[in-house]
Formats: sequence, C-alpha cells, structure tokens
Amino acid sequence: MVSTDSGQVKITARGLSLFYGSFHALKSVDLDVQSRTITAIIGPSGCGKSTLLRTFNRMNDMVPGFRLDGEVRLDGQDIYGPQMSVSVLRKRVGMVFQKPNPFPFSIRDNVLFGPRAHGVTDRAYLEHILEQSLRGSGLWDDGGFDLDTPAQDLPLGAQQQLCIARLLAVEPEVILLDEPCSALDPYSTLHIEDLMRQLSEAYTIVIVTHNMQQAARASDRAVFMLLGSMVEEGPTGRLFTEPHDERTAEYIMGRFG
Amino acid sequence: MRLREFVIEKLLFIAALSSLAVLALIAVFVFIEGTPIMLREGLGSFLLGAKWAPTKGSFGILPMIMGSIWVTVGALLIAGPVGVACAVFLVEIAPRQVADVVRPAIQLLAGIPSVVYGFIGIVVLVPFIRETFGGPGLSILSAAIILGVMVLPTVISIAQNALEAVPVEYKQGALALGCTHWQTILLVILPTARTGLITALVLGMGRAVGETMAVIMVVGNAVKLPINPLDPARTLTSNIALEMAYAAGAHREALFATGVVLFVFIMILNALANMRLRRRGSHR
Amino acid sequence: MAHHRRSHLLLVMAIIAGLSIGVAGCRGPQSGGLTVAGSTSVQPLVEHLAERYMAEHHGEVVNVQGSGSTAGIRAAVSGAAAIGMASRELEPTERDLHRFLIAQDAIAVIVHPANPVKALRREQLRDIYARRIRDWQQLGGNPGTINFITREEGSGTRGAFQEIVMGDAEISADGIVQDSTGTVRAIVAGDRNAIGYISLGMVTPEVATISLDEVVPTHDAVISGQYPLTRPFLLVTSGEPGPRERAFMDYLHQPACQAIIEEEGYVPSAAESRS
Ligand SMILES: Nc1ncnc2c1ncn2[C@@H]1O[C@H](COP(=O)(O)OP(=O)(O)O)[C@@H](O)[C@H]1O
Ligand SMILES: [Mg+2]
Repeated sequence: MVSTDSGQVKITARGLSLFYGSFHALKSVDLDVQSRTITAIIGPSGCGKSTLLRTFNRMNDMVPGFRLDGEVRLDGQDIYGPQMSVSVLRKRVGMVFQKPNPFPFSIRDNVLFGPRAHGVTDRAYLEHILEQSLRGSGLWDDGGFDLDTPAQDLPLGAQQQLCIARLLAVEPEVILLDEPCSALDPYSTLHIEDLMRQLSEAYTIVIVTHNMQQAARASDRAVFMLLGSMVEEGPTGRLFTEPHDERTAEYIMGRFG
Repeated sequence: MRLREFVIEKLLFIAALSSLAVLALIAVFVFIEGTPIMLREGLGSFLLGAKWAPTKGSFGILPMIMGSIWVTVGALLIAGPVGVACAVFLVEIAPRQVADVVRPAIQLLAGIPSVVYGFIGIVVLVPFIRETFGGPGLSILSAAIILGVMVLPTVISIAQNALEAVPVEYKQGALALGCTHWQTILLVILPTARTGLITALVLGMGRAVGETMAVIMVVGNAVKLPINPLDPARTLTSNIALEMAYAAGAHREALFATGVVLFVFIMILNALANMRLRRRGSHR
Repeated sequence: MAHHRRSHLLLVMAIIAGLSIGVAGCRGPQSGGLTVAGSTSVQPLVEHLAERYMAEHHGEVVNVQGSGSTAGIRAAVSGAAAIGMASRELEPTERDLHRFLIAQDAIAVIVHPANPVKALRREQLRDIYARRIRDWQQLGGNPGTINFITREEGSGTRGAFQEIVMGDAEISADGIVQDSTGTVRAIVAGDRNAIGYISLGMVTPEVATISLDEVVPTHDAVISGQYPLTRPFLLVTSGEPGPRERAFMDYLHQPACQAIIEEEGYVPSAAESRS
C-alpha cells in the first residue's frame, strides 16, 4: 500500500504550541508527517485536530489572539519564518474543508480559479490544467457534467471532488483535508477515500477525521490527540490494534465498542 | 387574547391598506392631471421636443429627460465605485473599532438636509469646477458630484449587506488556494456579491433621480439640451419644483406630465431592483 | 419572541401612519395663525415685521411662507393664505384683489466686486440676458464668457426685470436659473464672470452693484424715482380684508415699521407717497 518514496519526512513540527488568546490549544506537539503517505489525525471533538492541521498552511494566522511557539518545517524550511510567503506556502499546501465550498461560479471557473489568480493566461495550458485536475479528482471519469454548469448545482459529493480538483489545479505538494466526508453520504465517502488513495501516490495527505472506520480504512499512519497534546503516532494498523498508550486504547475502544 | 390579536391584526391590515391607498391616490391624481396634455401634444413631441416654453405653448421635456439621465448616471459613476470601495473597506479591511465609528458617521451623512449639500455645492464645489474645468460651474458635473455624495449612504449600506452575506467559506477557499486578501476580495467576494451590489446601485439611482433641492441649487437649471458635463441643465424634478408654484392651466398639466415621466422612470428602476433581488433569492 | 417584537414594530408603524393621516386632515391653513404667503423677496421683510407684531400682540400668530409672487396671489384667491405677498405689480387678471403697498424696492444688477464693468445701459443689460452680448470684452471688461443668472419664471423679481429691462425680448434659455435671492448672490459672489439681479435690500459687500443708465442704485435714487428698475412690495387679499388681516396690515404702516423698512434698505410706502 505504501508508495515508493514514502518514509521521507515532508512536514516536521517541533515543540509546537499554539494559543488562541489565553487558551492553550496545542501543547508542545512533535510530529513528522511522511511524504506520499496518508496520515490521519484522530481524537475527540475540540482536542485540536483542526488547529494542528491549519498550522500546516497557516490558516490560523488571522484568528484574533493567535500565537505560536516552536516550529513547523516543510521540506526543512520554516513555514513561519520570514522567508516564507504565505501565498506560496498555501499553493504548496492545499486544503479541503469540512463543508464543500466551491465558489458560486461554473465548474470550469472553479477549477481554473487558482491558476488564473496566480497569473496563468495561456488558454491551451489552462485547458490542459482543467482536464488534468478534473481527471485527478475523478470528476472527469464521472463525466456527463457540462463544465459551464454552476458548481452549486452538483451533488455534495461531486462538489467536494470539485474542491479537490480546484486544489490540484495549483499543483500542491501536500493536501490537508478537514473531515472532508462528514457532510457526505456513505457512497460519496467511499468515493473520496478511493480518490485519496490514488492521490497519495503523488501527494502527501493529512486528513482529520471523526470516523474511526475511515481512519482505519484509509490511512497509512495515524496520530491520536487529546486536549491539545499529541498522545501517540504510528502506523495505522499498529495504532488501532496495539496502542502504546492507555488513553489511545480507551478512545479507540470507546469509538469502536 | 384572541380578541386582542384579532383587533391588532385588523388594525395593521387597515394601516397597510391606507398607506397603499394614499400611494394609489397620489399616483392616480398625477396620472389624471398629467396624461391629457401628453395625449393632446402627442407623446412624441412631448417626450422628444427640445423646446420648453410653457407660457407660450411649447411643451418639450427632452432637455429635462436628458438632464436627469446625465445627472443620475454621473452621480452613479461617482457613488458606485466610491460606495462599493467604502463598503469593502468597512466589511473587509477596517479594524472593528474603526468600522464601528465610521458606519454611524456615514449614516449621519444621510441625515444632513439637502439644502446644506446644495449650499456647500454653490460655495465650494461650483467655483472649484468653474476655475478648474471652465464653464459656468453650475453644471451637470457639480450636480453629479453633490448627488453622488448624497446617495453614498444608501449605496454603502446596501453594498455592506451584500458583502457581509458572502459566506466565509468562499473567502477561506480562496485564501487556502494562496490568494492574497486583495485577490480574494476582487476574485471571490465582489463577484459573489454582484447582484447585491447592483441592487445598491439601482436603489441609489432611484434616490438620485428623485432628489430635488440640492440639485436645483447647483445644476444651473438652464432649459437646453446638455452636450457636455460642464453644461448647466435642468432635471425633471427641478423643473417641477421650480415652476409648480405658479403654473396654471396647460403649464400645470405639463408639469404633472413631467411627474408622470419621473414616476415611470422610478418604477422601472424599482422593477429592475426587485427583479435582481428575486433572482438572487431563488439562487440560494 | 422575535415574532412578538416584529408585531410591536408593525403596531408602532400603524399608529404613526394613522396619526400622520389624522394630523394632515386637521391642519387647515387658517386654524390659529394668520397665514401670509408669496414672494420670496418680500418674505424676509414681512417675517421680520411679523415677529415684532407677534411680540406686541399676545396670542396672535402670523405664519410667513415663501412660494413666489404668482403662487402667493393664487393662494390669496383660493383662500389657502389669508394674505398674499407679491413683489411685482398686479396683472390685469388680478386687478380685483385688494392691493396694499408696503414698500417700494429696487432691483439691483450685481456682479463680482472684481469685475471692472461698473455701468451698463438698459439695452446692454437686455442684450446680455437675450444672449446677444456674450463676452465681457464687448462691454469693456476682461475677456470671459458672461454667466448670466436669472430667476425662475413666476418670480416677482423676474417679472419686474422682464417688464422693465427686457420688454418684448425673451430671456435666453442658456441662462442659469436660480429660485432664490440667496443663491443668486452666492453664485455672483463666487464668479468673476457672473451677473445677476436681486432686491436692493439684499445686496451685501460680497457683490457689487452696477449703475443702470448712469444711475447708481441708492436709496435716494429710488426715492427720487431716477433709478428705473423698481417694483412694489404688495400684500393682497381676496376682497376687503377682515379685521385680523386689517390689523396686521395697518401695523405695517405705523411709523416704527416704516422706519424698519427703510433701515432694511427699502423705500417705505409712506416715502413713496410723499415724493
Ligand atoms: N478561532 C478560535 N478562537 C478561539 N478558540 C478556538 C478557535 N478555534 C478553535 N478554538 C478552540 O480550540 C480548541 C481546538 O479546536 P479545534 O482544533 O477546532 O478542535 P477539533 O478540530 O479537534 O474539534 C477547541 O477547544 C476550540 O474551542
Ligand atoms: Mg475540527
């Protein structure tokens, strides 16, 4: 299952602490995210999963009272350092949200939004990106969609695929997914999981999920968090069957039991 | 309790009905007074006639129609961009504390009487335009600027609502794709709020068409077809307001007919705005 | 709860609507006060005198409204006002009204103080307003298009100007039209190329007067009858004035009031009858 050059570290967090005002949301997290691997972040609601995910593309920055200690590196480069442009970072590290959020434009304009915003004007090249991205997200194979239909007219599952296509169009290296299936029906959920599996051949994927079955099915490695701390990290199979920590065991038992 | 609700409901109904009735009465009155002369003179020569000498039997209101259009469009060219920019600033850029001060201040603008705007126009703006661009100063340009400022509160507050209605998810989506805040505003927020912004402009336009006092003071009121923005002109409203007090007979009828034209003008604008609103409603 | 709040709001609106309809229905022009309406040129003078009148006659209320001479005369005829004010002579169709002269006013032709042109002949003035003379240079001034400002039709000032200066010539449609003395003056005060005409009593140092046919518009020139551009300030009633109207009008003829009229720059009617 694990693809060829995995094992290389894509993202490292060291002594990562995060505050929302006086609230201590992340407590000294140390984590390595493997390249071309699916890493699942699990844990109870409010434990800081989304917060951790959003430190990887700096989406927490605009929260009032935000403060961060420690460091996060992407390919060894400090993403909170002065040389890092947030805009470039976010192109490299894309994000898919819990609720599908395509723009209220056509399918085409959604997919081409990123490339156009970043200055691509060549028509032929845009057409190429369009097809590649839609293929990559599985929407092209599903076919039958007129590319000029408003994105809002698509079923929810397809909207989430479109959001992935929109992201692929800016050629990211890392894809962050924050409970991407929680608004979807079981069929669309499986579809997205298959898609993630395919994408993991070329991209580093980090997914936050509430759904233990999903984490077990679809991830290579798993991270368990509790009250802002990272309790345990390891290969998904091992973490689910023989957790090293009491608290992990309890949580997994509770969720499966 | 039931009885009280019943009574209140009927009272409300009567109140609603009576306000409608008053409106209908005014409309009917204006139409009854104004239509005969249009038919007598011929709609074509009334609407397209260029000579207005009501005491000598010439009733062409084309100069006033053109005057109103020039002034209104000019006001919108000013209030549109400025109003939308202000709204973007207040909703997207200004820190909360600043927005909380600026918002009521802008609404205060709406409370300043028109005469004050007109007077500032005469004393400050008109001389400035005369010295900078030439012409008599009292002109379409002056009126458009004054009107533009007067309709700003309307445009800003409706544009603000439109911008605030843009779901935050869209904004996050754009930021997560590496867009800067500016790109997010230009590429996502403004296009998404488009229908609401157009509504803001249309309602602002309705207000501009109807404004009278300040316009009379700075537009020059000359009854001739304007050919450039530095020319004085007369608008439909200023024509009515200037002459209604003493007009009699056919002249009076012609002023009511001017009112009919204005009425139709504003109804078309409101219909446009409503269409916009409804289309947006069905979209959600 | 939200529903409840909304119904209260509606109720308040309904009550306001009802009240405003009711108030509009009750408010007649004659209830309580004595309404005097018409010429905006006469209005400031009568307002001033009416205030004195009210201070001296407790319980009496005089409402002074400016709407233009023709409108004032019409209001007196229709009964919308007890007394009409006019700043021009009555026309033949208006002769059956009761006419009461309170003062004689001169119309001053005004320009920017920096304008070198200080004197005009009546024909020149007519040609300016008929747009036959278009540039100050033609009158010995600095080059510059003449911006001539006229009053709205139906204004008494315009009526007198038309009659005395224009004769049969028409005021050109190119002229700037303003509907009050104050705005005409403000515009002329701000524009070196402007010319306008306003009541002599309203002239201030911001503007300069022009001598007409070599007569400078002064108080004495008006009294002596040398200055050509004058018109009467009239109060009119439909038929014989009633006791309230009579009391107010007579008050205006008392020496104290006539002195005020003179102070304000007008020629009191008594002075006119003396000369
Ligand atoms: N914008 C914010 N401002 C303040 N507190 C926040 C904010 N976002 C999240 N939190 C708090 O941080 C903690 C972690 O939130 P989050 O990362 O969203 O949890 P999870 O995704 O694991 O459910 C929660 O207690 C939450 O209340
Ligand atoms: Mg979350």
